[in-house]
Amino acid sequence: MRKSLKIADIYLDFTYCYNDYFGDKINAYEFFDESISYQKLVVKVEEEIHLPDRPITLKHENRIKLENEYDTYIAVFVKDEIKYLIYYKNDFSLMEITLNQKIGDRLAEYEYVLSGMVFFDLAVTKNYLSLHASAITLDNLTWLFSGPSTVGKSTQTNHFLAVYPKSEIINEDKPLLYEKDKRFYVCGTPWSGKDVINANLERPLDYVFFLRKGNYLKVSELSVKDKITHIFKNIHRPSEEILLDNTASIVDKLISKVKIYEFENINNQSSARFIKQFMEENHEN
Amino acid sequence: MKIKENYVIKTIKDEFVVVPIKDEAIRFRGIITLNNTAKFIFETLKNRVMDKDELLELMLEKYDADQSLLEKDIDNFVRILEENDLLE
Repeated sequence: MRKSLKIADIYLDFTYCYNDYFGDKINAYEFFDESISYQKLVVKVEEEIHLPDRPITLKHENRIKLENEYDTYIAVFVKDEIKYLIYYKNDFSLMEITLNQKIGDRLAEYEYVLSGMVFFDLAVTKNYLSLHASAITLDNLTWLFSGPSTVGKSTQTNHFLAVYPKSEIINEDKPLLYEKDKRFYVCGTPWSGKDVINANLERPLDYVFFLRKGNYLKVSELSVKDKITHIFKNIHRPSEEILLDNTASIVDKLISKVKIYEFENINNQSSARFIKQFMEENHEN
Repeated sequence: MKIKENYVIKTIKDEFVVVPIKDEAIRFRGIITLNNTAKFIFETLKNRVMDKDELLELMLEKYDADQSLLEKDIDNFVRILEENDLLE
């Protein structure tokens, strides 16, 4: 499958193999304009993967990197065989992911995770931040439930949808955050988990809640240090310093412009009522 | 002691944060926040090999503080560096 996409202001020519994760959701991002230069991301599956004959610039555990001033290969091995290979031109005009057919039943999952990883590296070059979060909007409020896997993002999102059916999920895995016109915004991406309906929406972002499972309902202020720690634990973090500088700058602005709290919650619909009331009481129009 | 290559300090909202880059970003997924003395120790050990006594001597020159407090600062921060495998 090959689609021309517009995700936020990123134009992507995306070729992929499996519908399991992207399904019909990806169609909301389709956009073609022949006058625009698209950045190309290709996922393919091969029986055997070979590396070019070039010097290894980094070796760590089961992965190697071959990098020069024009492009980069990252290969991950199982025993003596390449499990997957990521290639990109250093200006991100072309990105390719080659998956070894032997990955078998998990090929679709690898395609989803690795294409997301490459796309979010590209997004950082354009001053977008990808936070592991559920992004939800209802009426004039938009917020994120963030935190590591198993902290209850989907659970809290589902409670909210059950109590307030008019709320919409913008993204339930990795939305993009960015500054525009002196405000912070969140928008959807096709990387939004497997089953959830997401929306190609852009909304001003009002709140970020880092979730913590607890025995009662409580919203707590966080120190700047704690906000930084929570954010860095949950963002897509680039490994190149120039991209890290972009990330640090966006995080700085996010902390300045968006209300960020810890939300101690319980697995119950009362969490949804509690947090909605909190947001309404603290909302500045 | 010396800090490994590929750790950088970034400033976010007046807080100093140590973040790994390149190959260390694959190995270490955390961050370390620094107060002023930890920042001084980090920057010193990033550029020079130094033992605890030399570090203490340098800090006594820089900070008007009790020796035992500075020793405690060094011990605490070096422990964090060791726990996270940031030293060569």
